[in-house]
Amino acid sequence: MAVRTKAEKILKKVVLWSGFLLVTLIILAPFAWLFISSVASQADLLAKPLKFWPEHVDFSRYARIFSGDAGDETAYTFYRAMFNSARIALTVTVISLTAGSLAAYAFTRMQGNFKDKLLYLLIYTYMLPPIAIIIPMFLIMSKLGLLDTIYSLIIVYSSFITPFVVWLMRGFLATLPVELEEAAMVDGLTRMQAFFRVILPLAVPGLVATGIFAFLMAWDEFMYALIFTSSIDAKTISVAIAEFSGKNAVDYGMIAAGGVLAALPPVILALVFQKYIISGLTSGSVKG
Amino acid sequence: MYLTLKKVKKSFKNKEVVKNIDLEVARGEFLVLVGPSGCGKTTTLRMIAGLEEVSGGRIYLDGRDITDLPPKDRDVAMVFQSYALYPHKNVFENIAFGLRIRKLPEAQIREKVEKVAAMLGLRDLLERKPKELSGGQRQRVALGRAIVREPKLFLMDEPLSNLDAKLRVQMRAEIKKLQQDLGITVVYVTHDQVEAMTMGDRIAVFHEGELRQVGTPAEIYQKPVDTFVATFIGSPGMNLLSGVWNNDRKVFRGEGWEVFLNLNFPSGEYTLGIRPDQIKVGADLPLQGIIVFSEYLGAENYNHIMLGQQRLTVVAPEQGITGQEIRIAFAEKAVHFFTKDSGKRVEVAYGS
Amino acid sequence: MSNFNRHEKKLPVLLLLPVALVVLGVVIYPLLYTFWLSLNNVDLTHPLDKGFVGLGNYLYLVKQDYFWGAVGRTFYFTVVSLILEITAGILLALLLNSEFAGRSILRVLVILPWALPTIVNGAMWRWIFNPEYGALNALLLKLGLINTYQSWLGKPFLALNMVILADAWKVTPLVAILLLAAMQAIPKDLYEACEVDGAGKWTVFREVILPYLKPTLLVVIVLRTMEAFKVFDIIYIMTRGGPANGTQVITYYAYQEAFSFLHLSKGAALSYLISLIILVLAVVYSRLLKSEL
Repeated sequence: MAVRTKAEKILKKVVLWSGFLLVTLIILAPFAWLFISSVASQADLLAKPLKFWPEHVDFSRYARIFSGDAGDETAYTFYRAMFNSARIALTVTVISLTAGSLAAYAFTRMQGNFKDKLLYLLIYTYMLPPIAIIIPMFLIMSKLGLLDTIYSLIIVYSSFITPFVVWLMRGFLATLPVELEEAAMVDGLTRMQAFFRVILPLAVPGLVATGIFAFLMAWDEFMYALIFTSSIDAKTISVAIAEFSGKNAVDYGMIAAGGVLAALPPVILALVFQKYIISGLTSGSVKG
Repeated sequence: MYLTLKKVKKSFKNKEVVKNIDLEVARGEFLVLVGPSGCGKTTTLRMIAGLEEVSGGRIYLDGRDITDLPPKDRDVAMVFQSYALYPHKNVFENIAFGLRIRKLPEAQIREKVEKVAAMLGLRDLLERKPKELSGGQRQRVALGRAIVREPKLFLMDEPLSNLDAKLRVQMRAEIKKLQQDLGITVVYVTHDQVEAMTMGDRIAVFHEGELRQVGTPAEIYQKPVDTFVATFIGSPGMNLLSGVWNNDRKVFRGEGWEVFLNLNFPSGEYTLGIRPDQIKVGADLPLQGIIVFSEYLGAENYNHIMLGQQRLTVVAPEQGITGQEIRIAFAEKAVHFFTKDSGKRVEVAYGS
Repeated sequence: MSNFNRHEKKLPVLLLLPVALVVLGVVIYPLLYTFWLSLNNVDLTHPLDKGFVGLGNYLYLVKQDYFWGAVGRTFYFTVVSLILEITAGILLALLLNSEFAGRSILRVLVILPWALPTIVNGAMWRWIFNPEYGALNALLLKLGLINTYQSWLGKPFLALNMVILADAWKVTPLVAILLLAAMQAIPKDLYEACEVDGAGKWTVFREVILPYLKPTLLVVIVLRTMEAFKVFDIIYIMTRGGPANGTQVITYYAYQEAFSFLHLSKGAALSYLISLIILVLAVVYSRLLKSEL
């Protein structure tokens, strides 16, 4: 601790703690309000002046959603949409991790200009905006009869999430020393056996971080889902929320409940695996 | 006195790392703080700089109490072990930085920087960035940055430890000459006792947070105040032999040997100290030892011998052979005595 | 690097095959198809009018006020977002970098907005900005900062700024984390040397911290500019491009042309323009990364 004048020390403390409070407030307040809105009664929500703290706390909206009652339109839509999103995100995560890690492994052990060009091609693919290919994709999916099914989204999501997985896993696998598989191959394993039994277990932290990012990306996606899906058979939770927000809905509480549910999986995943995420964020996009 | 430390101490989380330092430095003096790693010398230096708060005591510089001042108000300059050059600035800007902060006029800055650059042989490197420089060049830029500010005090934290051995020897001489030419007051930290001995006008020996002895290199070498200082300074270190002194018979008995010395001090258990290069070696000398191992260094040889059951290092002009007999003697003037438990120096009288 | 030896020639091909297939099938082919569409006159409201028009669609667009309006709004969105996110991001990163008791809590909190799905973020803020029942109106009224409830998303320019705010709220933590990583690479004795040299707080920031942040800032600028050109989700959920096209940014405009008005070719042309801009930015991004390595 360098020598500081008393005034400076006090000023520093004041600045830091007020900054801390300000940031905490700015971050937590909207979340809190979202949650409160989901459990406040309709009357409280529409009251003027607004009551920030509801008089009656009411979890019934969540009950309605989870009841799976097909008659309760909004609630049932959220219910089905959650499951659609979950199925899609999980499937895409598995697919992209598998194909992506294998490809990433190939990249780290390959030589040549071809490899570098292919790598850059992959980056551009990941960065391509949906708008660039969504029109033809719509037409193709229509021809294939895949519109309004979760498969259309699984295919498309995998197409841009896998390059991202390759990008991240390549960086990660490159840190594992080559001697590991070489030792295994000398011991009698084929390269692929060495990959699965030696490399992969060591790559678990990287896989976890990448898997979480992949899941988050699939869960968060909106544009493709909007265009490709229309019925509850395939609608994702993002689409459902967007739909009910737009319909001059007066059931703000229900939308809030849907929002909280839609936010839960990614937020929980992020909190549980925060260490992985932060290291993944900083190494992936800046250092590449 | 130009720089004074009064009862300065420092604790980190209940652990006292610097205990009660009283130190005085005269203007224009080159004082070296020396000791093994973790002894508190660097912490003391950082307290003088203001990079660490003191846990007790006061620091005065040129009549001012600077204890509570932040570093930028103390008018001291510091050369860091890693040089800490601004990587994004070129050599000129690195040196000029302190002057720019003080808002000196541009022409003056230019003049001062170029003068210092010439002094340090950096004239041709002014446009380069630190990463394009060698270790020795970077070190000079760090020096330049400190010199150009003309501060009251220079602090140096092991500036030579990142250089290779040959360069280190060269820089030692250069830094000392610079200091003498410019008349600057320097407090210099190192763990290398050779640097301390060759560069310091005075040396302050630190051990476990305490200041063991302050004095000129000669004083420290010839009259070490305890066994730590005696063995730390001088290479190879002083030999320490424990034994019993009988003042009536004037004999010091070690393990398996004894020596007659014409000295007068109370009988008892002591540790006898004698430097390897001050042991007399010759054919008809009273003490007999066996050479265990001999290190050949060209101009000198270090013979490690057994005297009775105790080990001793003797410097000799010829290389010894293992197993060979060697005859040595201790002169009264070369022998030091320390108390057995605390290791503190004991004053002895010569003759009876 | 242990390379695939002769015996394993087929292996890398096999490993890369799925990825290559995906890229070809799901990306390259549609991309070319979009280009083809843009060169033709496919309009689902006039299905019989098909025909090759070369660059006709592009020329048509470039003459449209709507087009330039959308481009202008996109630029505005980009610039204002960047200013907000970088300023707040630097401040937040400085806070996260300081040693004080609340630091670890803050580091956890900061992940939350990033993890929130974009649509939920948009819906949440839309609710907060609601003209009749929204929390913002209630709060500002209570604090005496406004006299009557405002229609935050009801006036074109105001709506654009509110959307920017909502988006910045979600993105700033991410920017802060990236900047924090750069800050943590700064060697401690550089700060100390600067202080001993006589620098005050602002000088230390300018001379020690900022140079280390520059590379990351560049990356942030390029990445966020790319994102701004792609922005769609939050516009859809908060304002549907309105009011009076006040939030119609370029991607939204393309979406409307293709899927609302069913002018497929015009939509395709717009998409292509957007993709080209993003491609240029992506090249800049990869050059930046290379120079840093």
